[in-house]
Parts: sequence; C-alpha cells; structure tokens
Amino acid sequence: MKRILKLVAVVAVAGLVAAACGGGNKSTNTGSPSASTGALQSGGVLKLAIEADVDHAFDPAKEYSTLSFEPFRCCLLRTLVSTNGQDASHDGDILQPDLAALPQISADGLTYTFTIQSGIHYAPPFDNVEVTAGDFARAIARESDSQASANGYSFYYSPSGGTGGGIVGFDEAKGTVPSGVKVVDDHTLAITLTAPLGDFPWRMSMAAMAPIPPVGNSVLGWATGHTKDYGRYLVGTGPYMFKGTDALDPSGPPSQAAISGYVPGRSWTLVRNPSWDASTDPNRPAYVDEIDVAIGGTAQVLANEVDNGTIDMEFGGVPPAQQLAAYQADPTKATQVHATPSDGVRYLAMNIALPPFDDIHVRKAMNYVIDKDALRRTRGGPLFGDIAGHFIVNSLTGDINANYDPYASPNGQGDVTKAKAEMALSKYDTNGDGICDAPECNGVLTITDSADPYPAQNAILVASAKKIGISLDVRAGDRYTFMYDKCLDPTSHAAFCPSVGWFKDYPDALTFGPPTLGSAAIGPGGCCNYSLVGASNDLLKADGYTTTDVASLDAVFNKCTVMPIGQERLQCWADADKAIMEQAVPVIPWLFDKDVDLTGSRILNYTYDQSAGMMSLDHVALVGGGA
Amino acid sequence: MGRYLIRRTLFMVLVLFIVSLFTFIIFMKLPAGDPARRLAGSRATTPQELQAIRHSIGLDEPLLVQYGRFAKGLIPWPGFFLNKQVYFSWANNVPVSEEIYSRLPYTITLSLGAAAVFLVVGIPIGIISAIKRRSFVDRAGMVFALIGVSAPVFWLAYLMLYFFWFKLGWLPGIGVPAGEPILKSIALGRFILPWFALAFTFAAFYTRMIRGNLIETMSEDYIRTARAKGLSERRVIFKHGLRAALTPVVTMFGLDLATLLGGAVITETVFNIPGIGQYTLQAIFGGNFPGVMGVTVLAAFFIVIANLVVDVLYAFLDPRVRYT
Amino acid sequence: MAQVQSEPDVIAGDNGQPGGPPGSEGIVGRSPRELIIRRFKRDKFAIGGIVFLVFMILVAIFAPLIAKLVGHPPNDVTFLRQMTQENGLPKGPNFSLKFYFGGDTAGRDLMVRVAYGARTSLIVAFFATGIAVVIGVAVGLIAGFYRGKVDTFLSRTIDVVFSLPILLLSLGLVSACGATKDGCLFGLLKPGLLLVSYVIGLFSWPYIARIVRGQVLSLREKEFVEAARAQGAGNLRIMFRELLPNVAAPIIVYTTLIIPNNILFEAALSFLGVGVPDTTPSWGKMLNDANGIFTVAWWMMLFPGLFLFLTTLAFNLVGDGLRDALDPRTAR
Repeated sequence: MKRILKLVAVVAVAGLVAAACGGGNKSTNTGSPSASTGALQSGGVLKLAIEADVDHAFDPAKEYSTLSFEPFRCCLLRTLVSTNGQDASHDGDILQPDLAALPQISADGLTYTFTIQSGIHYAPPFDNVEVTAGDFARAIARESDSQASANGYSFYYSPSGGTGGGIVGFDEAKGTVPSGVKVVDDHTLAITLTAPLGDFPWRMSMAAMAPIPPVGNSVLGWATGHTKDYGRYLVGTGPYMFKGTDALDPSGPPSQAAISGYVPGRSWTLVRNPSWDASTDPNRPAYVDEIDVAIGGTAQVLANEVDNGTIDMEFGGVPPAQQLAAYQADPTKATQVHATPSDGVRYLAMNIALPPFDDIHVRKAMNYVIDKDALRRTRGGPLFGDIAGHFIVNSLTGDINANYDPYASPNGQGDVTKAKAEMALSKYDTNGDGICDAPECNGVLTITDSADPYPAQNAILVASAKKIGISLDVRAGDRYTFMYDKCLDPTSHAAFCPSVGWFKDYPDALTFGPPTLGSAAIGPGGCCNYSLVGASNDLLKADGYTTTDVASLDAVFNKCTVMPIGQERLQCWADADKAIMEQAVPVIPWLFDKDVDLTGSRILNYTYDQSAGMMSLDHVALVGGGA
Repeated sequence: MGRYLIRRTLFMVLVLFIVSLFTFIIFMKLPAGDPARRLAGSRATTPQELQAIRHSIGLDEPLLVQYGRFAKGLIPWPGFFLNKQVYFSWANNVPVSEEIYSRLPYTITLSLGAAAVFLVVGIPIGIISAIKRRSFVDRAGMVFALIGVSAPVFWLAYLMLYFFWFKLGWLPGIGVPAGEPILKSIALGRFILPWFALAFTFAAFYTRMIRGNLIETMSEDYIRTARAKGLSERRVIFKHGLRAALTPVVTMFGLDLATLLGGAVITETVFNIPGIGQYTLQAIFGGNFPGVMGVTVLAAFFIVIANLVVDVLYAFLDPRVRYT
Repeated sequence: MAQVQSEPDVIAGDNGQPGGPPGSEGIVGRSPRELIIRRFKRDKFAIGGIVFLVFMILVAIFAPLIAKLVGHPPNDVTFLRQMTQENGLPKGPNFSLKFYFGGDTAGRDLMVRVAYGARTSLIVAFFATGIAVVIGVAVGLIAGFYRGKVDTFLSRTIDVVFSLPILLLSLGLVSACGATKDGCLFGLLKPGLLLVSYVIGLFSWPYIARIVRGQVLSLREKEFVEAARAQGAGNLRIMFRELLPNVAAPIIVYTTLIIPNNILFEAALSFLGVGVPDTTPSWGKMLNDANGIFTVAWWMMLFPGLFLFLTTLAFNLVGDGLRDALDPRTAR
C-alpha cells in the first residue's frame, strides 16, 4: 500500500515527470552483499537526490510514502523488531530482533510480550535517556490519536481497521495508552489483541511504533504539541539522526525551532548518532558517515548528475531508459545497474458491479486479450519486471503459484482467439461471434493517470479492448487528485481503473488481500478496492448500481488472516490467489514489478532492502571510505 | 496626486479581493469531491478520521468563514500575512511562507537575469531597426522579433537544451541542485539557458514596441522642429526621440517584471528551477490549496503594485500626464 | 504565466501597454478597400502566411486522409514493436514503414498525430477567439457608447481581468471541470475541446473590448452618428448598424493577432498536463510527451513544435500584414 504513495509522490509534479516507480528482478546485480563486506571501509558522505520529498515531513505516524520507509528503518528509528535490510535472497524478508527480542506469544495467540534490550539511549539531546517499555506504549497512544496518525496506517492497530483485528482498546484510546497495552516493567511490554494475528510482529516493525522519548509525565512525551509536525522534531535510536537534532531543547516549548538538518522539500542531512552502539545492533552496518539527500529534479536531471558525479544515485527513482541502455551496453558500467523484484504487482482493476464487467466472462476475456508485453514495454521492458499471470506476488506465497497463469498468452501479447471464445459465453455478445455487441460495451468509463507512461498505455488498452468489441472512454488526470479520487468513489461509476498497482507493506500476503479486494477497503472511506469486490447490496443500491449481487472474497481472506505464520498460511494465500483469478476475476495483473536502480561509480555493496523496497542506505559503502 | 493614490490603492484592494475569491472558488470549491478525502490520499480512512482531517483544515466551517480565514491571511501585515495557522501545506504541514521565501531567490534570479537579457537585446535592436528602416539590420531584427513572438517558450527551451547542452555541451542542462548555493549555480552557468529562453519572447516584444514607438515619435512635429533648429540627427534621436519612445517601455517593463516575479511557470518547469512557478504547479496538482492561494495572490499582488508604481513613475517621466 | 500572459502583449506591443498610459496610436481603417487589398498583396510575408495557413487548414481537414495514405490512424498501436525499442524508447523516422516523422512511446505515427493536432489547435483557437470577440465587442461597444458609469464599471472590469493570474486560474478551471463526466458549474463547462476554448475565450476578450471601446469613444462624436440619431435611430441600431461596421477593421486585425496567442495558450495548458482530453492529439501534449526523452527522440520535440511555431508565425504575419495594409503609417 505504501508503494502506491510513492507513485504519487514522484508523478504528482505536473505530469512532466517520467514514469514513477520501477522494479527490478531477482538481483541481476552480482555478488552477495555479505561476501564483499570484508573489504568495505567506513566513512565518507553519501550524496543522493530524490525528485520529491516524503509526503508528511517524516512524521512516523503519518508518513506512508515508500520514500520514508528506508530512512526510517536504516537510519533514524529502531523499532522493537525489524529486518536486516537486505534482499529476499539474504533473509531480508525475515523478521529480526531489534530493540527487543522476538516476542513471546501466549497460547491463545492473543498476547505478545516483548523484552526490550537494556542500555539503549536516544540520540542527543536525549542521550542520557534510556529506552524503556513506556516509550513504545507512548507511540501506540499517539497512533490512536486520529489527528496525529491522519494519513498513516492506524488500521493495522485498530480492531475496526479491516485487517483482521487489532490492539484491545485502541479505538477508544484517542491519544492515551490503549487498555490492551501493558507496561509490565521498564523492559517488558505486553500487547493484547482482539483476534490472533499471525503477522502482528510485522506491524510492530513499522516506523509509527518507534519509541518516543519521555518528557515529564505527559502521555505523549516529546511528541506533545507536535501533532502536526513531529517529524521535524524527531528523536530516535538509529545509527543516524538529522543533523542539528542535538540543538533541540528537551525542556523548551513545542514552538522551538525545528531540526535544521531537515528542510522540507529541499534537503535531508543525516549524520551519525553518537548514542548508537553498533554492538547492540547487528542489523545495520552503517558504513557511511553522512547521508546528504537533495530534493528536486526530474529523472533526467538526476541521471545527468549521476553521470557527472555530482550525486551518487537517484534514491527511489526510475533511471531514464536512455541512461540504462548506455550503462548496460558498457561492460565497465553494467554492474552499476541493479534490478530487484520489489514485491509489487501492477494491474488493471475492473468494476465488477458495472456492465459490461459485471459478467465474469467479459472479465476473463479482458484478461486474455490485454497485450501485457506492450504495457511492459512502455514502462521500460523486461528489466522492469516479469509479466504477471496472477495477483499475489510469488515471494509472499512461497513461490507456490510461480507457474500459475490461468490466462497465459504467447509472449504475454494477448490471445484474441481465447478472448473471443470467452466473450462468446457472455450475455453481452448476443450473436456469439466473440465481439461484444451490446450497447454496454460502448464508452466504458476508464479513469486513469495522465503522467507517463500511462498515456501510451491507454492507447494500448483501447486497442486491446477493441478486439473484443469494448470501447473505452478514457479520462486521464492527476494521479492523486483525480485518478484515486474517482476510482475510490463508487458513486463515480468508474468501470475501469488501469493505472493502479500494489506493493506489500511487510512480507505477508495479508497486505495484498484485504486492502485491495476486501469489502472493508471499498471507498470512499477505504482503500483500495477499486473493483467493489464484496460490496453489499445496500451499498450498491445506495450508490446507484443496477447490479446488486457481486462476488466477495472476504471469507477466503478471513480464513488465511488468522493462521499463524508458516507453510499452511502460505498455501492458504496461494489458494486465495487462485480464487481471485478464477472465481472473482476483478483484476488483470500484468507486471510483477522490479525496482531498477542505477548507482554511481563510488557506491559499493549495493544492497536492496526488501522490507522497504529501496536501496539499503546502511549497507552501502563508498569506494575507499569516501576518501 | 493624493486622491489619485487613494483611489488606486482602493482599486488594488478590490483586485486582490477578486483574485482571492476566484482562486478560492476555482481551486477549492469547483473540483468535485471532498478536499479532505483528497488529502487523506489513497488509504483507508474512517469517517471519524475524515472528520478529524476536515476539522484540522477548517473544512467543517461555513463557506464564508473558510474564505474569511484565507482572506485574513492575505492582509499584508505581520502576524496576518500568510499566517501559519491557515497557510500551511495540507500534506506536510510546512508553512506556505517558508516555501515561498526559500523559493523566491530562484525566481528573482531568473526574472532579473531574463529582464537584463531582454532589455539589452530588445532595446538596441529596436532602436537600430527604427533608425535604419528597411536596412538589412531592420529586416533581420523584424524577423527575429516575429520568431520571438511566435515561438512557444517550452519549444525554444527544448531546442536550446538540445543544441547547447546535449549536442555541443557548452552549457549545463536542466536543473539546479538543491544543496548548491544560488551564487554558485549562477557562476556555473545554470541560469544562462533559462534566462535566454525566457527572455527571447520578451526581447521580441520590446524590439517591436520600441521600433514602432520610435518611428512614430520621429514623425511628430516637435522632432521636425528640433531638426529645423539644426540639431544633429544623433542629438535629435537620442535627446528628443528616445525619451518619448522609451517612456512606454518603462511601463511595460514594470508589468513584465512583476509578472515574472509571480513565477515563470513554464520556464521553471522545463528547466526544473525550484522557484515560485514550480511550487505553484506542485501546489495545484497536489491539491495543496493554501499554497495555491498564497502564490496566486502573491502574483496578483506583484502585478497591481507594479501597475501603481509604473503609473506614478510615468507622471514624472512624461510631463504631459497629470493625475487627478 | 509570464510566457503566456505576455503573449497578448503582441497585440498591444506596438500600441503601448494594456493598462498603461494614454498616448497610444490607434488604428483607423478608413482607406478604400481596394487600396487595402493592394497594399496587403504587396506584403510577401503576409501572403506567405496566408498560403501556409491554407495549407494547415487543409491538413487539419484532411487529417483522416493522411492517416489512410500512410496506413496508421492517430491512435493505432499495432506498430509498437516495430517503432519502439524493447526498453520503450521510440524509434525515429522510418520510410519503409511510412513513419515519416518517426513514432512516439506508444509506437503511434507522429506525422498523423501532428496532422490531427492541427485540428485541435485550430478548432480551439478559432472557437476561443470567437468567444473573445463576441464578448469583447459587446463590452467595448457598450462601454464606449454609454460612457459614464457603465463605462467606468466595464473599464474597471477589464482592468481587473488584466490583473488576474490567467494561466494559474485557467489551469485550475480546466483541471477542476475536466475531471468529471458532468463537468462543473451545473454542467455548463463540460470536459473536452469546448472547455478549453471557453476558458481561453473567457480570459482573452479584454484586448478586443479595450480596442473597440477606444474606437467607439471617438466615433460616437462623429457626424454620421449624429445624423443617424437625427433620423430617429435607436441606441441598438446606432451601435450595430453605424458604429460596428466602422470598427470592423481593427477588430479583424486584432482577432488575427489574438488567434496565435490562443493557439499558444492551448499548447501551454496541454503542455502543463491539463488541456484537451487524453485521446485527442494536441501539439502541446506531444511536446509534453517529449519531456525527458527529447535528447534521444528529437523527432518527438521537433515536429509538433515546428508546426506549432509555424502556425503561430503565419497568423502573426497575416495580422501584421493586415494592420499595415489598414494603417500605412506603421508599414514596414
């Protein structure tokens, strides 16, 4: 879900910015990070640039842009548990102890007990304050304040969030510590849930759950008075901190000057946190001394800066096709191109409550007819991902469905014959010739993004759909203020939303099911069930639909949500994936995304952080320690 | 003069009021959908959360009160002007004034540089064209002016980038790195292409205007009188002709500079200069209404102030004009 | 905005600044028609402009024929794999496939799209200018004829419109109203070519209004008006039968000079990502498509921009020629 926001952040600027969000394959980059670490030297200043700032000025409770996940994990905020910051082939998708050991789970699966390390201190000016259990309770209390966590992901902690359950008393807490959170002693935290959630420890690894330093007896401690702008006063425990954090006055008023090392929209400057002790933190090697991130510029601009050495790389962007081609063609530079699967799927969403997509045969025919290879070409070709045959990415279902492709076509270019055969079964093809002849197939309202590469994709989709007699009425606009707005509002009767994608929040298939196809994720209150899967009769009637009976996947998802992590859970989600593709068919998945990065010549030990879906900032080192 | 100034000032206030009202209606009320929903972005939001967002940006108040809050922030007085309680980015809570002040130096650099270029290029060509009518210089100048008024700035910018940066490598390409001090950026020549691209169209206008004005002036009676007095042609042109011909230039220049200070949206976009214009676009497309309101009214403010200054200045330059 | 807003200055360029001081030279069209036509015919530039415009209008009208001749309609993507590389970068002109201007990122024929783009540009420009002229003439006639409070009010309105940040407001209007199927303002502004035309027209009428007002102010004191009044002609009759024909010449000149501005305005809106709907080819949008790849796909920048430039240039040439023909004092 977070990745969706990354798309936004990058594309939002005037439609002039090239395609956002890339993807890479199972490491075309060679050499395992661990093998080469021996020769790496610490030190130096890593110079990065990004096209646009994070969305909410680094407030961990609000921030949901992909761009923020890596700086939070690698550098600024340690959490109870986390990951090693590497890719999936190096266990980057396995939960690791961090500030606490892995939790103890009660027999009923409802209570998680975390034992917190002793002797961890905050960054200055809180360098003499030890991290204790109450600091985490404080973070949960802040998360329960809907103003503080507006735009964030409180649904992972709220029992009413539609994610299978949550923390007892969370909804009533409203800025205080929920009744389900018990500070047993300074180093023991017990959290009780309303339902067993196999993935709950993952939810505690997210940045919003990072400890907040105490100040006096106030419930929210250091975050008091910073409902809107805590990110600019952030004090954490990671190996780095914003430059100037130490100039904060712990006893000063909330109106004091913000941290100087973070200028929203202009730059981030991360320096070493003197309180951080490497011996307590095996997850983060933290090679470089300083990370400078300049904000602004298009992919083209930043590519030039990488070429001429002004910066070491564009962080989280998509390198221009011409630059990638030039590097790949040069044997000395080919290793600077990295492509890693990002655990994301790009798909086309059909509204199953609207004609002609209320007929499953039409939806299946669409799955057959779309030229997925052409769509991929507009994104930059095979480097940017594998053609998708199903919805849930393989890494989240243990590769059980790796060869599953119910609507396969030669080279992914679409199979018109099978599409027509499927269309002929539909009620909208009265003469059975495989071409839709009902008026419902004319002017199918298609809501899409106007930024590259979507205009090119729209042309391809219009051409593909025409082959089975469906004409699309394409309306393109800004991704944020137009596309999501319309696609998430059932009353706008958008039939086809082709410019969407989904990326995991943490490595569990739960983050793929309910948020995209569960009934609780139907807009405008929820996100991101564009297809209205599982919509109730009442909702459909109220929103002006004539169809009142649509497929639901809620039961399928609920069965998997409560299972403990393990093979059985993986199998359950793999079966859910098949149910999506064959029983409900609300989507046309076309690309398993890969993140493509291009690193400058100074960067060593490129490592992909599977959990954040970006280059791992604490694992990279500079040639000669940056000297 | 005093009464005139008061009347003009009142008119200025009226203009700013209308601009702010239009901006409020067009950007806040016309777009279908709920700004709070747009602000919440693509994520699950409970009705309570939506209400909280709505409250936090004052959307739960009556329309007039909402407008009033924004209007109050436009009063140019410390404590009111772009106050942080209302004028903050809805997405990341950064005050609009902070954004504007940090971007203003780039827009000023771009505007003044371009203004220098178009004055230095436009005025001499216009004068020479007028004096040496139908000469080669005149013909060339007029062709230049025609091209200038016809070529869209974004296409010119592409062409300049293609040749002077991509093909020849003489000048830096797009972009001003965020961490770089602005003086260094200027020294590195990062503004040269933007200056020329932006100035081209203006230079063409000035050339045409000055040529036309000068030709007209030179046919006036008093010029003939000056000539009859036996003054040298050079003296006639520079002492009498130019003075009258250049006076309107002052007017036009003031307004153009004001317009540019409001943000050269297209130039800043193409060259990726982090100025006011670029911020405006980001605010518009990002649904950041306080940002849009701030920059739109600022742009209008520059224009009305320039109008006033220019008119007053005109009275001093051209003794025939009297204001009552 | 500077770029766009300043374009209309071409109109006032030789006449002093809009909103500026008095003393500007007016345009008087009292020469006999034959004289004017003869003068215009002598202007090679203007004739060149006319020829090019006729060519462009033919291209716009016969765009489907061009598509048929080369065999690729404007939104045809069947050549995607021939006309783009595997990494999505478009390929340049290919004469054997009849892609004379090369392809775009979806493998569409750029030449055919440029031809269809001419339709968009010309339709929007003519329509928007039409709206501007109707409003402008009406306001100018009324203000100049009635004078007094009516004139003060209308003139101040004109001043206000001149002070508006036009590009920004247009961006807002077009993106707000282009977003839904029903448009906005109770369905008055529906998405499409018309929306863009309305918005552009809405902001470009003051130029015409100011010119017409000035002319009418001086004409209404002339004898023929008195004569008409003596014969018992009503206000409406005097305005439309006596005054209007006498201000027709400057209206024609300024209309010709506003059209290129409006073409550029539409291109700028499309370039910035609002403007005409997605499936409609537009020169501005094509130039937007070229952003970021114009160094390696020069044809995507060159051809749409060149035709945009030549079309505005041609209108400017014709406009200049007309003005010079009507008022020999400014002639080259």
